[in-house]
Amino acid sequence: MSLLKPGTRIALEGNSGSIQIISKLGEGGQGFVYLADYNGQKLALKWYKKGVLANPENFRQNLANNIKEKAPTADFLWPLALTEIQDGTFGYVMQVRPQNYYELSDFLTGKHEFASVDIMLKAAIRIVDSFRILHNRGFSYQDLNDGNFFMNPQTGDIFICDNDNVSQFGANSGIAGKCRYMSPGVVVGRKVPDTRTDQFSLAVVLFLLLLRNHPLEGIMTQKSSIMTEQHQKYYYGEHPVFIADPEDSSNRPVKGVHNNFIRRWPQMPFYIQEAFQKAFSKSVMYQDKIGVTEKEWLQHLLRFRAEVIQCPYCGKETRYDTEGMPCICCHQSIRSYGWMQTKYYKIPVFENQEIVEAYITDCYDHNESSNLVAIVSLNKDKTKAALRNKEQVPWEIGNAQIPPEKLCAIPRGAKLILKNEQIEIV
Amino acid sequence: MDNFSSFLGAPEAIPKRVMPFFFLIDTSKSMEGKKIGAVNAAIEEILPDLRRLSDSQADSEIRLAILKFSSGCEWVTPSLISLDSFDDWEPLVADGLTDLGYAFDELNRQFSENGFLSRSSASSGFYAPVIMLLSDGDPTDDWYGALKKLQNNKWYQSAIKIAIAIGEDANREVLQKSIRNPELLFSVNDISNLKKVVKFIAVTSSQIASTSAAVGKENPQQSANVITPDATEEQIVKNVRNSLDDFADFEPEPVPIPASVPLSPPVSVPPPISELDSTDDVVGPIDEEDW
Repeated sequence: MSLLKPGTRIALEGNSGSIQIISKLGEGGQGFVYLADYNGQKLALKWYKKGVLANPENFRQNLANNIKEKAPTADFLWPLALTEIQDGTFGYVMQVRPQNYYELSDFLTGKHEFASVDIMLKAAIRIVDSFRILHNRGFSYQDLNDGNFFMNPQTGDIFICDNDNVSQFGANSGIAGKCRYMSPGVVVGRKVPDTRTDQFSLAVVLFLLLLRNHPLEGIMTQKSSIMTEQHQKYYYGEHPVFIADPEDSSNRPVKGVHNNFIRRWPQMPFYIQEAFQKAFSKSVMYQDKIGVTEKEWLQHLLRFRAEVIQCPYCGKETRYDTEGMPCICCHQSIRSYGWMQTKYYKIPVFENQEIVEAYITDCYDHNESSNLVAIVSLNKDKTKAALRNKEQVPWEIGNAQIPPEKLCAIPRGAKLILKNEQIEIV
Repeated sequence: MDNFSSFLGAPEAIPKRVMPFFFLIDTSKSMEGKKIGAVNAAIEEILPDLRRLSDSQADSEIRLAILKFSSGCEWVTPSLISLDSFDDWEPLVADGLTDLGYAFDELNRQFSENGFLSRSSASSGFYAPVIMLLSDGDPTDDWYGALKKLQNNKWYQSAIKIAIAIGEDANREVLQKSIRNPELLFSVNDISNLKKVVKFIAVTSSQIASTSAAVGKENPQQSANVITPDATEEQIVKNVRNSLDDFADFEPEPVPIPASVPLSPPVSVPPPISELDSTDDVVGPIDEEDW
């Protein structure tokens, strides 16, 4: 039985008791998601439709392995336990997704929008970081698309769901993926999904998130009145052309259709443009060469995020990479409170600028891209800037201590050591 | 739309391709009573489901056209219409002959640049259409000749074709010939199940046809001139067949509407900075009181 009625009891594997169905939360291609009760705790049950899995035994075994391995980070709604097989099918339980998190498609269709570009970039960084950690653990995701993760438009926090296709390197869960997100090599059957094809899908997701058009949809796809299976195979597999390919202009944007791209591409920093041009280059799409790695994306996105500031004159967000640069919105020339020069980044100092660990250190092992070290705070007159300690431990600055939540002055010329790395205010 | 005042501007909704869904409904005399009643009820319930599906997808917009055939044929919808504009319709009444050939001829006319699938009606173009044929009887006209003509139509070739045989007397052979994948012919003998089955298949097939093509594996080689949606049809079969066994139990749960997101507070505009480079400070702790 694929459809479960409220009240139905499903036994969990290995004498772990049973869950009771409360209601249906959603439905996808592979199965249904139900809200279930487990000894008073609410869990989500993914329940497979009978017969949709190409090889149910392998699939189940893979899930069992992943359950044993545990979630790479808390951002993954990871399988917690398998159910027993019941009426020819089975499922697994996971944590329930909290409220106020939305799919990428909700942002693409305009139903929800991020509170700011800063928050949007924060979400992008979280997504990249999560997949990087997943890949570092030796897993590949294999079916990365717009329905796999949820984002909070107010905080930039994310959740990654549908982790049932996640496989260890070299294994293939038998999922082909969603056409517009799949690497061309997978679309034409040249490759099976792996970490490198995940990288391509991740670039598609990032492009959609930042530019709000599809990277392979321009005048070429626009000219095609109908998009059949064969057309999809052609445009996304055999003959894909990036909308901003520096050498091939055959798939440029169409005015009135790809308006978001036309408006936003010139506002992207050159390093973001170059990263997309590499990720959707012919060598990646036609020869399956390496694209942009997660670490490279992190560096670009962190740099971009550091450069997005709020204009002190018009209050809108603008990009700032040179002292005295005018606001893109109101054209007033802006002055910073200095620049924080770390080993890897040069961060303009403005109010509420968040200094995350990855700006200072280069270890990239455990969510450094999101771990907050400090926030820039201004005095009442807004004439001076200071760093507020957002760590759990005090900072040792010279002979003084800055306890958590306390301020440290950062006049120009100041040098301080944070996380064992030198930071200079220039 | 939340606050998004920045150098990137507020984004527009991403352009969507249109996924056309065509119902071909037998309204001949033999459909009278429970059968046509169940069909009407099914369509009525399918509309909000398809609307919700269409709204939630970033890839495609689902549009609908309904053609009824009895003695001759007639469009119930004025054209291929957006689901938002289709909120009221006259329930179908059964009477007359079973002129399936007329319906095929009419479909052939509309499956063209000058018909319902004109490019000007969908700025980003179309996905392959889904056609669902519902009938209970024997056609009374030259349906086969009309079908042969229709089969040369490129749009028809690319379409995902599904047939529902209503009642034990339905001519399954005719319906079988009208589709390509024999597993997409569904028989409903118990009329009390008709509404649920039609609804389930219509929504599932729309979902699959409008979100992804299952390319990448097991895609048979096609001859250059014929466009077929084999992999998509295969995926629909997989998704629908296994769920139909226990259909009598099926009662879908309503999906909760997510709570709306509060807007962020208004942005305060700071005064211009007057004394930026004051030199009297040194790096070190600050007393919050004086700050």
